[in-house]
Amino acid sequence: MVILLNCSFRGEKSNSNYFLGLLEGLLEEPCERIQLNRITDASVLEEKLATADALVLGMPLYVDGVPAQAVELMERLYADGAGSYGQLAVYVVSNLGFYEAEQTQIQLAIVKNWCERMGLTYGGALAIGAGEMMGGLRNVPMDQGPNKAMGEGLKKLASHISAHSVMENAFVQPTGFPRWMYLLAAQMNWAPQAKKNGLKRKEIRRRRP
Amino acid sequence: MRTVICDLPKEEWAKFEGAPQDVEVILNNGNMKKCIGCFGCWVKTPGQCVLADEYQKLGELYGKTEEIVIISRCCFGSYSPFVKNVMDRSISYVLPYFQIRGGEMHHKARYGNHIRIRAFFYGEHLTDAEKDTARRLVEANAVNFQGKVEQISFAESVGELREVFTW
Repeated sequence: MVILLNCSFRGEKSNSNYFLGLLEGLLEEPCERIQLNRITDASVLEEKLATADALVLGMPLYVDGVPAQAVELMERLYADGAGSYGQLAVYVVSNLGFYEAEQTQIQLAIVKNWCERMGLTYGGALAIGAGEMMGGLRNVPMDQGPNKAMGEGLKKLASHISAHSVMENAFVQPTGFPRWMYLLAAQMNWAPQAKKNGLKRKEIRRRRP
Repeated sequence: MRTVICDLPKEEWAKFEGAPQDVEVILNNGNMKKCIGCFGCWVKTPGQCVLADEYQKLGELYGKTEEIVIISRCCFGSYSPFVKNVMDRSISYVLPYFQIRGGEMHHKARYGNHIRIRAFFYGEHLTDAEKDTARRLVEANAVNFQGKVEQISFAESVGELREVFTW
């Protein structure tokens, strides 16, 4: 059994959950997807982890690290069950708004440190740069166009999960879509969003008070 | 002014004596809402979190802050859940717009100040890897908030932390 835990508080609609869904589609093992924002009783998750083979954390990068709510869960699991899930291998599918997927390295180190404290195997990660863009390309086949490197990365991760083996952290960006182009596209994205909320472009830069 | 972000209970924080006049202290009131990653602080109420509680105006506070002092339990190289939540809900301090700094993509500043950051971590038997991760986390936060790290210290206990802490 593979537990896919979405740590984004945006829940089912989040990019993190979308990337976990792509991975799930590649896995032959039975999988269960869990939304962290819906967990009301951590002991239910703990029971599932006790018999699972792998835990995959779907994580957005929040201020260079693990989102607060996921740190809270990691602490709870550590307090309740360090050394209890020796069979578990932990993998991460991380994503971030910045282009360079390597900016997730501190987040991944935190997960690895947690695994060492827990007595779990850290199995490695796939980090997806320009996550806001990649999460918006849901109609593009996974291994084509800008999704090519991500698709290859997910396949590699899936094969390691199935083999219960360890891989090096892998970092991918949109294939054939350079950083300057992403930066430009991202800049143009904010004003329409603000406009939907009845704001003018210049109000985005508002200083308070 | 200075801002302290501290995960200790109020009575423990009170034992840190000699605080200057111009200090704003962010403590855990037990009811802090979690960042939901909605970007509302960028496109709905720019400069302010949309979650209505006493932690709504962190970005505005940092805009007038010269120094941030972080006092946090070290959790696997991360800040504690409370301190991390404070950081997560602080992104209204910067703009959604990107720029390239030091060869990497980061957010543009909303305010013109450059904050000094001092971080004090505590926790028993912290590993070298955890300390290394925590140092990198503070440094990375400073890059993203266009601040400057002045000090990063580790202590085995809160008592030991009080001994190494200075204003």
